[in-house]
Amino acid sequence: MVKAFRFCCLAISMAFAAPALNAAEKPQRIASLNVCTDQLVLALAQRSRIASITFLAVNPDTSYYHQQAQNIPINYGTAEEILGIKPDLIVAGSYTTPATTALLRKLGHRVELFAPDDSLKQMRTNIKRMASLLGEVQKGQQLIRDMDIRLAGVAQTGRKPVAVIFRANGFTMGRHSLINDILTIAGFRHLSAEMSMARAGFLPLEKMIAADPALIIFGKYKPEHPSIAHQLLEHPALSMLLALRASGKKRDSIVIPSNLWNCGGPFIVEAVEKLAQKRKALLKAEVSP
Amino acid sequence: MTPKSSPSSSPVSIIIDENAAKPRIGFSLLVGILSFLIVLLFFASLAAGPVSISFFQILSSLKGGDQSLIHIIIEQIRLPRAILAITVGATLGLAGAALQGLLQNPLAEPGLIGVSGCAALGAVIMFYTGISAVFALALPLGGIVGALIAVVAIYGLAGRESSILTLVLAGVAVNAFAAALTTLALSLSPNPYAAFEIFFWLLGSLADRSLSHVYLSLPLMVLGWVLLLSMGRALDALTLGEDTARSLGFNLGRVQAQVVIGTALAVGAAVAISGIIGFVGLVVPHLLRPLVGYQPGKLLLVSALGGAVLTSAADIAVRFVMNGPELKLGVLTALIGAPFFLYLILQIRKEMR
Repeated sequence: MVKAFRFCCLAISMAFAAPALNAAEKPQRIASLNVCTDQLVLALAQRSRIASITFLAVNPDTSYYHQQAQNIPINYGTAEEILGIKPDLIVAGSYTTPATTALLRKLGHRVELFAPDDSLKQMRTNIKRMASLLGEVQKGQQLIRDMDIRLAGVAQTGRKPVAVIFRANGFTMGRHSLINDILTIAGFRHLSAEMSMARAGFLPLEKMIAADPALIIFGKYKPEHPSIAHQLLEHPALSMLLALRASGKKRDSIVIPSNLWNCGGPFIVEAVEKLAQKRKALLKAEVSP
Repeated sequence: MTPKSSPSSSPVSIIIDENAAKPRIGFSLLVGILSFLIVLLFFASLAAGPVSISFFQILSSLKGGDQSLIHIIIEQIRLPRAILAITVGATLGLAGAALQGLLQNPLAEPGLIGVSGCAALGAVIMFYTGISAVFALALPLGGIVGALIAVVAIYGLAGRESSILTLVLAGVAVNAFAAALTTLALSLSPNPYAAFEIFFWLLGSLADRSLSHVYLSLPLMVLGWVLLLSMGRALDALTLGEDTARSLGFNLGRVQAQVVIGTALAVGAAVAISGIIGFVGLVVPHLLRPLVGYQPGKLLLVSALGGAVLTSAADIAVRFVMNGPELKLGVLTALIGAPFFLYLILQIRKEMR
């Protein structure tokens, strides 16, 4: 029974995986099972080589490259959809679709898993690795170089105001997160990290108000469809806090589109620049009220 | 509680006296104790939360004036919560006592018979379609219409003086239907957060409600309270049977309509703000009934006060149960209420034998 199964696997793997090996470095039918691997594939590979991306890749709320993603076949992370398109490389997140990726591996497919981008360092590692898997090493290096040039242009001198990200239901990111690194590089102190939150968690509304951050970064997802989760972001206590004029402290809020920093990619530079601009305005307002 | 007719110029008061089993404590003392507990819990509710705030700071921020962070937390976050725990709790206790009086059925409770469930459905429809975002009053009105449909349906299905079993079965049916439609409505929302909010609607919570929720719901709840609290004498008379009540000058149709509308107004407005908080209307009237000599009329006011006490206490307790998103209020009231419900069933079985 086991033998028969193994043989079956071998046969399938020879049928599907063999061409991938022959085609040397550059896979020609790439399938992605995670919105963040979608982003890297879309940034690095020619469109004609992308066989399938997730349904989230075409959604502007979740995907930066949603326009480039139009008309590429989409999947919902199930093995059946992926088998149908006969991919020669499957990239996926290490946590998001474990059952599917395990099954696809069993069937002999080449599956490469990517750890979530929980820091700028991890993001660079992921970009480099994806670039080499796709046979686009130079393009990957170029992406990182361009990014570093723009990041170097962001001023970090001067006082560091406290910022916090406040999403639906009061969900916030902690010390080990891409968002933490982005806030740091944009010249902010990060409230949740200072409250020793590790990765992510819920920040009670009144605790955030007592901490009195200079910048509240709202994260919204489909706010045009009502939910109690988003109602919290419109709580009158928040607008009262932002309107508070005590002790000359300037407070502000900003909405960073979630597709700019939920995944790692070259686009996070835009998030950093938006935040750095806000910081400049905050510091200026404090100097000359 | 055997009905006796007695000739008198003011029949109702005489009947009440005859009906009265000896209450262990005086009515005004009971009202006083419960009111005192409400005041105590109100301040405890203002003091309880993840940010520690001293009692002195609470008092000074209640007086208003300075616009500090503490003031924002107390006035905008904790005050609405403390008020809503009292008003929603009072509504549930009062509606339970009134329904039990009208239906002559000890298990009539807004949650059990599906009134709260339908109110939640009405509010869910108004909220997630975005209607209440344009027209805020639509939220409580949706709850009221839902509650009204449920009370009328239950009345039609079970009727007055129906068996306990019929009423509970009718309630199970109405509840199941309302819960299914609520889940469907939430699942149909394109916002992924909506599906998780099924917990809020089916188990209730007062976390992070704002003063605007108080303004939206309180006037409608008060209107419902007035209708229900003025039913005391009619409900007392009803314990003697419909014919006697009628001969005492009570228009049965009007009494029914007033209890139904009062319940719908108060429960509908409450549930639209808090979600379904179960069992308060069951536990509170049952605990207090012996203390008011089994008089449905006197039970109304004390059940309202008792409901406020129980709900406020439960709403303070949920803040300490766990880290992160707090426990839903309805979980706690069900933990208290469900065993109580079972106990009541055993009692009723004993009586039936």
